[in-house]
Amino acid sequence: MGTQWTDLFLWKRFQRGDKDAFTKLVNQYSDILYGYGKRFSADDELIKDCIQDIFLTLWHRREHLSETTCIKFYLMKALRQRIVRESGKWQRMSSLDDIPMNEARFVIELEDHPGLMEPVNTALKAYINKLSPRQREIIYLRFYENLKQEEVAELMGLNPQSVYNLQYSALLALKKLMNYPSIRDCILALCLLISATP
Amino acid sequence: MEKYSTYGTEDFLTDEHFLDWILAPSETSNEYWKAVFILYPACESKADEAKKIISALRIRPGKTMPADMRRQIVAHLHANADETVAASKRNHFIRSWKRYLATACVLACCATAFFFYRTPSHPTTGKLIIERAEVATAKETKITNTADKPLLVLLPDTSTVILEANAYIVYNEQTFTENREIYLRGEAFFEVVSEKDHPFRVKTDYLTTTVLGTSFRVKAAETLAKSKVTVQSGMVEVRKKTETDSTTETEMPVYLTANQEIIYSKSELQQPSSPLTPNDVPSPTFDEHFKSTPLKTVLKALSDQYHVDISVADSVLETRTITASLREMHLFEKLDLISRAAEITYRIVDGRIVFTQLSRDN
Repeated sequence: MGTQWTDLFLWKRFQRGDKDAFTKLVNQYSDILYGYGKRFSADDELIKDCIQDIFLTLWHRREHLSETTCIKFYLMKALRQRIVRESGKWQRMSSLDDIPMNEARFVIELEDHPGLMEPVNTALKAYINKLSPRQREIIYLRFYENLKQEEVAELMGLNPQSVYNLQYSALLALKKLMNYPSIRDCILALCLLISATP
Repeated sequence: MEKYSTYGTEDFLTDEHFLDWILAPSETSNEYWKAVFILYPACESKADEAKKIISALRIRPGKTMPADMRRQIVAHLHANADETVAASKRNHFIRSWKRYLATACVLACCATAFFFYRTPSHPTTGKLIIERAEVATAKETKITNTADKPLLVLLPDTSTVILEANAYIVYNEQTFTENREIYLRGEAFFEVVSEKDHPFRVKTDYLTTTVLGTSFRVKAAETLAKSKVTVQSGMVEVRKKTETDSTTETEMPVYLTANQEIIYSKSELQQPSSPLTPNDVPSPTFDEHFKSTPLKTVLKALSDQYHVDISVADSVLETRTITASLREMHLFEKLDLISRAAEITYRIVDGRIVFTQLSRDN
């Protein structure tokens, strides 16, 4: 967790009003925030405006903020709220669809796992698409951004039990999928055994 | 731990401790799970299966921010950073995490208060003598090191002074954060917290050294034959004190940067013609990159660098290892970093640093 220590000192300098530290902070977190934001919306301008806004607010409020060692979490949380709010406004104007934006979309893709067979990799991709956007976001935050379950809950504004349940059902489905090849192998072996017996 | 004896794959998948370990293993968690598998060997294959399932979740990294978007954002922020925002424009996200941060704030305050009040509470057992006197309306604090080795003093602005034997400093505790002025007799090494609007001044009988944020050593000998200022990092301004008026120094100042020193002798400021090599500077820089280094070694290096006593309450803690870079940090930043890395805590007791176990035990 080496980044946390340097974070702390960067944060201290930032709070003292050091613009270089501010630029560093922006450079350090822009990829994480952009990567997260883009999963909600393909609109580059929207993401840019939101990221710009949260950094600017952070700067103007810096003296009122306490020392924090987990800048990443706070920035991600701020970005999420901003995107949900902004895209909500946009949606009300342009469509009658009243599903909140964060429910409608959260895109993640899986990379091929070299240790797994082709059909399993295909099944994994289908599995990810079948999860609800919330489940995909939980998986992303927990297993890609390595946030703790409580942090995921706070970031998404859900209660920890809901996060637990959603994550559990997602992992359970994943387990079933991963077990499938071995079950098939068993059946295949059984068939061979039956056909081999005279 | 016994619950693991009946654990199946699903149980591991829902065990947050287990997931934390898989996602971000640490030395402690590695030990813990090793112990679990030794005690309950039957569950290890289930754990492996759970691990395999998790490893299937290989999320493709998102695109990085396009370079010109980053440039635009930075430019926009710099253009707007100086504007003041109306209260109504404040975002509601900040308000919601302010509440979350309240605990951290209280904790930070406690820690600070601790440092300040700890030192004066043991004036007799330690060798740092703290005297408080009211001179006119100002409340002056005088700290004298009567020990035979250097001791550490924390100033109200979190700058540090390592006071050599028999040296003393005097400052006004009430106004110090606004007017960072300190009087020194003897020799001391300063590490100054940078504050642009509040220059830090060290006055001796003959010299005034002004800095913005750096580390340097000032020697003002009692016999007054020679005063010396040596800079380790940053830049300082040294002026001779005029005899008529002690508050305005009219002569041309001398500027010193890293590894330079100036000697005051026979009413003249003499700057050695060649810059010093790093070895000449009394506080040696040492290799400040540590990789899996035992705590004991790190603290020894730090203690040698600052010439202060650093001890560890429990010898078991000394074997913990640290991977960190301590370059260009203030002493307290280094101590904080070491504490985090080794999951320990420290106190300042009578000018000495003592590391102890974290009280939160699990």
